[in-house]
Amino acid sequence: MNKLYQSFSILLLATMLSGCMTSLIGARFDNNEYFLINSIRTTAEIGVDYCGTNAVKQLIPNMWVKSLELKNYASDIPGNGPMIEMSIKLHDMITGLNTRYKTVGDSVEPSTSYCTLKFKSIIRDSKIIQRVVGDKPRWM
Amino acid sequence: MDVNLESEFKQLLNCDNKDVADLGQRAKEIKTMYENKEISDTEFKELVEDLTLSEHIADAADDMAIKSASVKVLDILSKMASAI
Repeated sequence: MNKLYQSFSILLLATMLSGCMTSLIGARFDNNEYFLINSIRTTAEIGVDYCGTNAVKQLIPNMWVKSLELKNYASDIPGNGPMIEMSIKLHDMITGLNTRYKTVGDSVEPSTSYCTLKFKSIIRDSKIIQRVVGDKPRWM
Repeated sequence: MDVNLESEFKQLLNCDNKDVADLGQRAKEIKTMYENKEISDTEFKELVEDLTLSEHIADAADDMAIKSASVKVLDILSKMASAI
């Protein structure tokens, strides 16, 4: 049995020395990532009920800034590939909504159905991201 | 074409994987709203593109879950090894 433990130790040491541990840094739980994705999800959950009203126009830019923050924050953490990918895609999705509300004139508002569907998509995807970010192992 | 699409929707909605079923539900909602003229052409296009973005997010989430699982295993082994 001791031989088995020794093998595990050697394997672990080899992994640490080979630089593979660096690639696992991004796999650890990160408070900031969790905070930002929770903030995006919460804003979307509030926003969906305000589609078709003026209040939504204030919530959308705020959510867009948070998604940009998440994308930028995740981008330079080593071994953080999946998070980088998810944050880019979520930001793209939110940018579509933000651009539409930013560029249209007062007479051509995006439809309420579009707004609702868009928020539902953001809620769904941010929940998925929050689930996996929350399940990352904590530092020992 | 529409008959095929309906059967595809049915398959997606009955899928055991909750994320896939949700995606199917969203796709169906988008199609219905477009047919009912509740959303414009450009809005429809954007919402369909979002479905692809969602698919990428779901794939990356799976990758992250696998990575997390391997780190958890490494942590357990590390604890075992340090206890020797």
